[in-house]
Amino acid sequence: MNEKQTNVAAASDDEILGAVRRRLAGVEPLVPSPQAWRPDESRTDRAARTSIRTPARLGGLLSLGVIAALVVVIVGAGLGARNGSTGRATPVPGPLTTLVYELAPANGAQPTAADLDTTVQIISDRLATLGAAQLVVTAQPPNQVSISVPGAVDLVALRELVDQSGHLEFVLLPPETYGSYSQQYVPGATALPAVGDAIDPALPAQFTGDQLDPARSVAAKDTSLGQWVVGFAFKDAAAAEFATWTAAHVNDYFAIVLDGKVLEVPYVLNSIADGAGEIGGDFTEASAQRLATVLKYGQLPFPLQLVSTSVATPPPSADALASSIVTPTVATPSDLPSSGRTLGDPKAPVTLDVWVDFRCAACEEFQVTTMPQLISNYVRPGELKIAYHDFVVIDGNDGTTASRDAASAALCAADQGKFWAYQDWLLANQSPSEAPGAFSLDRLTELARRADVDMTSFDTCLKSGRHNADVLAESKQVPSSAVGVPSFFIDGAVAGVASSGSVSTYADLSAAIDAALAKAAAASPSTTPTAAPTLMIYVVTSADKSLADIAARFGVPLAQFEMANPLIENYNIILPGMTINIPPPGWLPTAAPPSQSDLP
Amino acid sequence: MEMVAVERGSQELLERVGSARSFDDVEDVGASFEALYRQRYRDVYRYSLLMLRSAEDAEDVTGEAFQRAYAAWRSGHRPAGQALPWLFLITRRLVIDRSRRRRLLSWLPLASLHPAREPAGEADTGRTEFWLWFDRFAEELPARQREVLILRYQRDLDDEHIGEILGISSSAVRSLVARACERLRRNPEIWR
Repeated sequence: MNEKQTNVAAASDDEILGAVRRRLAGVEPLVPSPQAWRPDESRTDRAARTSIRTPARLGGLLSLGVIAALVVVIVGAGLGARNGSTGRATPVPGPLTTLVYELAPANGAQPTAADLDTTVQIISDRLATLGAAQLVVTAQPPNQVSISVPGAVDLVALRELVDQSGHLEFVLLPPETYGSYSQQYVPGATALPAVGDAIDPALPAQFTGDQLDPARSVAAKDTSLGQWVVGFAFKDAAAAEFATWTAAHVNDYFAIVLDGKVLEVPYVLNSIADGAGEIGGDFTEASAQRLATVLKYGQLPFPLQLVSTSVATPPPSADALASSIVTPTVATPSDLPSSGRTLGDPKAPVTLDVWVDFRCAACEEFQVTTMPQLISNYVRPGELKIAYHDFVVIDGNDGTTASRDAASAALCAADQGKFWAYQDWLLANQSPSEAPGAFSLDRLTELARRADVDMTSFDTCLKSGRHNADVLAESKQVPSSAVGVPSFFIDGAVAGVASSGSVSTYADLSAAIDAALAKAAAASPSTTPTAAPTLMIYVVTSADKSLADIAARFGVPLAQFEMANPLIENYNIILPGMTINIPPPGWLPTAAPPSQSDLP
Repeated sequence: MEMVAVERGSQELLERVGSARSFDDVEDVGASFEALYRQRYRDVYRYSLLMLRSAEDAEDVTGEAFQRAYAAWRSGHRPAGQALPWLFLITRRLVIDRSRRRRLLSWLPLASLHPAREPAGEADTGRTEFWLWFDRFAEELPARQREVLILRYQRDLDDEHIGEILGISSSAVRSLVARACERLRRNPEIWR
């Protein structure tokens, strides 16, 4: 008893502390490895102080994780959708991306033809994991590799697979410089390199990726940590070497380095006898898979340098085409009498000849703003018929045949009595800049489909160019006084000289038509019984300033004008689209003027 | 009382140790803090576990300590020197908070306040053995002396760093160690 106490008393502090230290080391198996770092950005320090810690906070962390997972799923779905679209039965839509890489000479050596072949093989194998079926890797001697990928492609993922030389190194971080796991506080120690840092090139590599067994590099999820890791294993000879080396460096840090960048800085826990291990660190599933792929197919003989990236865009696919077509906002009424390219009662006293080029933007403007007024005010009452003629001019500007093709297609539609419906679609889908691409044969065909044209005969007609000559011949017959498109003629005389300086407005044309009507009435009084003067209807356009202006233009006294329009309360407020009764000369309000709601 | 004083001291010290260093490179913040987290997670957890003797509490405290450290780090308050003492300062305040709350809770008739002492399963005799030993160790030593030894065991923290964490001088640390040794010497079953 006494003796024991003496011994105990004799124990030094160091002895006691050493024993406590060893005992405390018993806690080590209870200490888990860190989970993936997920900072809770939303939390503030103050909130943490006032709230009692409950599982709810863990819930918050979890939900962050769920959000992250969702983001991955969404992004993944997006990629999937894009890949899906490339896999359709229709010819591959989207651009053809071509990347050209060059084998950069390294260590004073020039790449040989064999190196080039090896590189092509490795790159093909690596890229096969992308799942892009039509991806083509070709050697371009003497020292280039080209990669062609049709369709939408995730260039970032592709380049990450290609750009890595795949040069993996295991580099010891000398304990005298960097400290070790057991001796963390070495005076003057250099900080350990962080993930992504460039490794000090002076440090020699103890092992390299060449010594790994390619078949055994896999990406896997470490379920206990919930992290992605890349498993590796050394080949037999290197495995023994690795075992010896790890035994000699227990507690030392080493860096796992890929292409000069630190992937992870682990320390040697104990000797690794079987030469197999895991690279942990900062992996996502995708990056782990990428590294596993790169390790599996080996290191490139020479580093690759991107020389050029080009994207060639083929003609848009049928889908893209269909979705680029818009429905006309202004459609020619189908209930009006029409024959071929003439709209209106064949017996109408006045004919308005309109010369158009379907690529011309002004023709489209005429179609949208003026044509509806002409139709409701003159064509529908049977006073006017409108005849369209081809005047192909824009082709001459750019040397294409788009205008001719469009006109030819319109004639093909006219063969089926569908000219007016088809020209609505043509004008609505022309290019605002009059570019020829809007009237490619594919688009012309698609427009016909939309306009309910019978496709069998239309296709034959358009493809055979049946009406091409007709169009060109007609274009030559345009009256020499025509100055452009659209040009308007009544009885061979220019009608509706543009008062605005550009396109003839409704006012220009209606004045000319009225004059022609009066002339026709005078010329053939017997055939046209003198009817009581009737009201004309005018639709206000945005160019009209006031009612007085309009009255002056039609040569009607304002007082009579007001009598004819009893429903307009304020003559100073006129809005585009309003309809106004225009009293002809000598009109008196004997009969009640039509109410505006009765008007077409 | 003593605890409160220590805490106030450590708060001042936290501000001193973590005095702002300006970093322009914001991009770098996340990456290097993550490295710190990976490197030091186990150290912080071990300390929390030994102080609180509950795996659940230790996990909570460790998580929260890194959250706070991250908030400080992002706002530019970074350790001027070694990161580990800085992390321990943050952790220690949380540990004290936690044990104080636990003391309040213990007035209520609640069972199982020490989950770590629950039988960890027949197979885990090693764990049980450790906790049995640690209970004796903790019973014998007052809180301050125990903490000094736990910190000493942490990755070779020197007396100066331990003093910074506890808010005392390094000579006070040495005297606490000496007194702990004195007590242990009288209870050889703890260290033999």
